[in-house]
Amino acid sequence: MLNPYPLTEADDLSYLFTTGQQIEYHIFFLDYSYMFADYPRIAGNIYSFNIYVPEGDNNIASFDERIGVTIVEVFKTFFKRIENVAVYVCDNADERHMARKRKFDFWFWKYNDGSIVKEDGIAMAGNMEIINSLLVHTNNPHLSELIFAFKDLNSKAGDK
Amino acid sequence: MEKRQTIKKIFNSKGGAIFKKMLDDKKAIEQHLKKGRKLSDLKNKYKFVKPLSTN
Repeated sequence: MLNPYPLTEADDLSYLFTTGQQIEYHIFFLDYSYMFADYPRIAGNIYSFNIYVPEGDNNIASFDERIGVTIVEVFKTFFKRIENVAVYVCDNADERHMARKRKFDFWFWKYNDGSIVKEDGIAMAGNMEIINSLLVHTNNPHLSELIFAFKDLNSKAGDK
Repeated sequence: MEKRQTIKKIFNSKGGAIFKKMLDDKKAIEQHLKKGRKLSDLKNKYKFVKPLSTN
């Protein structure tokens, strides 16, 4: 098993790791607990997960497997608090969002030890498709309700 | 000759606005960083959290 790159605190608001090719990956989380406001039992501890690569993320599709190992390690640390829930949206700015999603899915498939459940969705906002994923710890007591609420948010407005 | 027109139905997801806000926030923050500015400039605009312990 490959070792993850060391994760450090970049500042008061974000984390950072540097690959063997000296490419920096910045990770930050934003609180979106209000997204499940219609479901008061699960509203809270909902964070968006974001990766920013200053040099561009071409390297994201590279064969450096330690990047995937590191991202999964980040999630393992994140889910040490079982109530934490992560939401990931794929940036569609450069038409490479499907490649990013495939890479993310591959990392998850390869390195997840089964403790994290991932649910994928596609939300429509006007004519924009927003690919998104929900990540929940298997032992989260509200797992079923979280998945139900997540699917509900991705469903067509007006559907019951 | 019959002229057929394809109408693409566009709908919104119930949470479409939330996911769009999430995506817009992500893009805005990345643009800010690309300009060489600091994340701390935005700390009052977005709800940054640090749910990991790196110790």
